[in-house]
Amino acid sequence: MEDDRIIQLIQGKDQEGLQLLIKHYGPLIRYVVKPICGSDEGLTEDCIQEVLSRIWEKFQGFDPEKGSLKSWLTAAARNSALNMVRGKADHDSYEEIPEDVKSDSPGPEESAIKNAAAAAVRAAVEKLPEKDRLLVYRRYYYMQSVAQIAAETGLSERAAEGRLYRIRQKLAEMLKGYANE
Amino acid sequence: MSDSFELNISSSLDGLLSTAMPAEAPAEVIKAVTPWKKAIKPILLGLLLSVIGMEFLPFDIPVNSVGLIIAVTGYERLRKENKAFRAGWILCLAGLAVCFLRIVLICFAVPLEVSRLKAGSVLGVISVVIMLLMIICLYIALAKVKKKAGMSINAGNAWRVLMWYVVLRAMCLIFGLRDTLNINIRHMFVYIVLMLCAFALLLHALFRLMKELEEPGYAMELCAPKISGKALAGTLVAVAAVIFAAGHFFSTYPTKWEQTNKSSVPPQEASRLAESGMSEELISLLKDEDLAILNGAEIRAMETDSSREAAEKNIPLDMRSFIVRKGSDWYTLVYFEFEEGTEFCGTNGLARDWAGGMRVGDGTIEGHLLPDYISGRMAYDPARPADLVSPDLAVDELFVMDPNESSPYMKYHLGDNFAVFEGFSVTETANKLRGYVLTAIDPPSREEYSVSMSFIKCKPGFKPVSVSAKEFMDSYYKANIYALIYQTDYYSTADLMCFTVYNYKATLPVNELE
Repeated sequence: MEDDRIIQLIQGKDQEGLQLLIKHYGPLIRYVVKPICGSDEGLTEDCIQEVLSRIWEKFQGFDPEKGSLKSWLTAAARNSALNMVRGKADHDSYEEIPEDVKSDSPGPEESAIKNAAAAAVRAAVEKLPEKDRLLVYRRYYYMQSVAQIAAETGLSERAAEGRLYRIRQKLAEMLKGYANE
Repeated sequence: MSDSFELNISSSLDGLLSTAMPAEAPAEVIKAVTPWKKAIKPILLGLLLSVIGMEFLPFDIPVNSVGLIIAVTGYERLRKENKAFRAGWILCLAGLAVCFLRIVLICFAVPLEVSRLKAGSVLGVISVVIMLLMIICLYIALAKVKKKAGMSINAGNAWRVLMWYVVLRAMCLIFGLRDTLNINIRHMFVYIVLMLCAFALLLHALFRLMKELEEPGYAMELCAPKISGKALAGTLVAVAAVIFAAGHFFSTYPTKWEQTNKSSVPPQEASRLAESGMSEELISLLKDEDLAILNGAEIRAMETDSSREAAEKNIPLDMRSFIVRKGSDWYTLVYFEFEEGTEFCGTNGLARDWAGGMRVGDGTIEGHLLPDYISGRMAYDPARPADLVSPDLAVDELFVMDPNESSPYMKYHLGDNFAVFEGFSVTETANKLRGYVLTAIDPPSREEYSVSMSFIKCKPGFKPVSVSAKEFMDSYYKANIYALIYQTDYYSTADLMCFTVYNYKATLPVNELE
């Protein structure tokens, strides 16, 4: 019910909708953004503002038929935070680029390889048992630290690290098979 | 393509995984990835188990302990979230310590003064208080989480949990006092249904509490446990199991047996007693004060009805009963021999048992009375434990206990009968034991009295003693006088939880002496 109201208000560009969204989903957005931004509190706050402004701008793209508001907000928060952190990293490491350096953008063949690799990885992740799959999503989608994963799943840090190591080995094995085909 | 791809996997799988993740995670992942669910669920489940166990079902202490063990795995991760969660964590550990103390009391043979009747009930009250404080702390903790998430601090469902917990606890208390309050079985059935309803409402409140946390729960910050929840729970369960096993196998009762010589009865008196049907073994066992009562008294041996013995296939036991009249004073004397050890697992015997009595007239409880005189002895030969006839004996005196202590069990179903409860030490080392009980009775007001003797063998188990006591009284309420080897002032509840009753009956034809 609350979601319907939020969607209706934001689609109608009513500021109250954004207020409601912040009240209701603020903790979720912070939860998604924080591990990506790390310990930098200022960056986290900037990120949340950026996420909210992007939600406000791009909300027309949200289709309730395709998924829940929560899923969409999680994806929006994650992607905005990642973009912002990458942008900051690029800015921080900015140096004068020599003119003879080749462009970083991948060529068509490299793009095809990357896309195939991504599809293979996603397929391999889907084949994992549910508990392992959740750990992979926590680590590589939510970008959570091992300590956070351990705390939230009730594992010790050592156990969480061990589990992630075994999952990585399993995935490497699964992807090796694919690669040899 | 394959070579470069394989190289890519082995060199930077982490990077690949990060970039290959879909833009939007599947719905089940979104639902499952929360900071709070894995920590709050054990807390709520633990609370639930603790409530179920409380005097409502037989396994109250084990269920309560398991509940707290589960809860502590949740609290451990939330202890740094806010002070109220930390307080809850400390309370949970304290509750667990109390539970473990109660397990020690159950499993070890401890003096009655510190056992279930006193320390046990004090610990029970402490654990209820701890549980109440835990729920209050949970309310405060959740209100703080909501405040942190920028939401209203109303933690309505936490209040409901507290309210239904208090209601259920009060109902459990009344349920525990059902005998004292004289609640009949039909009303008790309705009451149990009401308790189940209160429990369902508590369950509902807990469920709503979970739902209420759905969004503010993301504001929680957890800390990694030093050891995993499973390992912690496993360790605590193992500790409880070790306590139980240690108590079961190594805890022993201090026995009170003392070496004594046969009493020297003057030959003339011994012959008179023998003529009245008393055996040499009985005469040699009599205490001086009992001999003084029997001296000059009219003694009549009674026939023993062994039909119950045959029906119940009990331990081999020989019982002889006498009615004794000396002037206006009346007594019953019951002598018994049995050939089997008591088989108390984990103990080497019982220490002093107790005796008590009560009278109920015309269906109205008049009060608890001890007989004017009650005496007895139990003996075996420590040098030749399989032999009954010996010059040297190890004896234990009858111990008389304050009957008020035993009143809850004795009240049950006595009708207008009179009951005497008494006991001795019993030892595992002897195969043959013999003893007698001499008890004053009121001048008989009817044609005959029955004397029945019940022997209780204890074996470890999880049957609650109170239920068994009721069953026991149900089975034997028809007898007018009971003499039974029963509890002790040193006992382990584990031993008393499951026991077998052996019953023998004799009829006293009062008219023959009037």
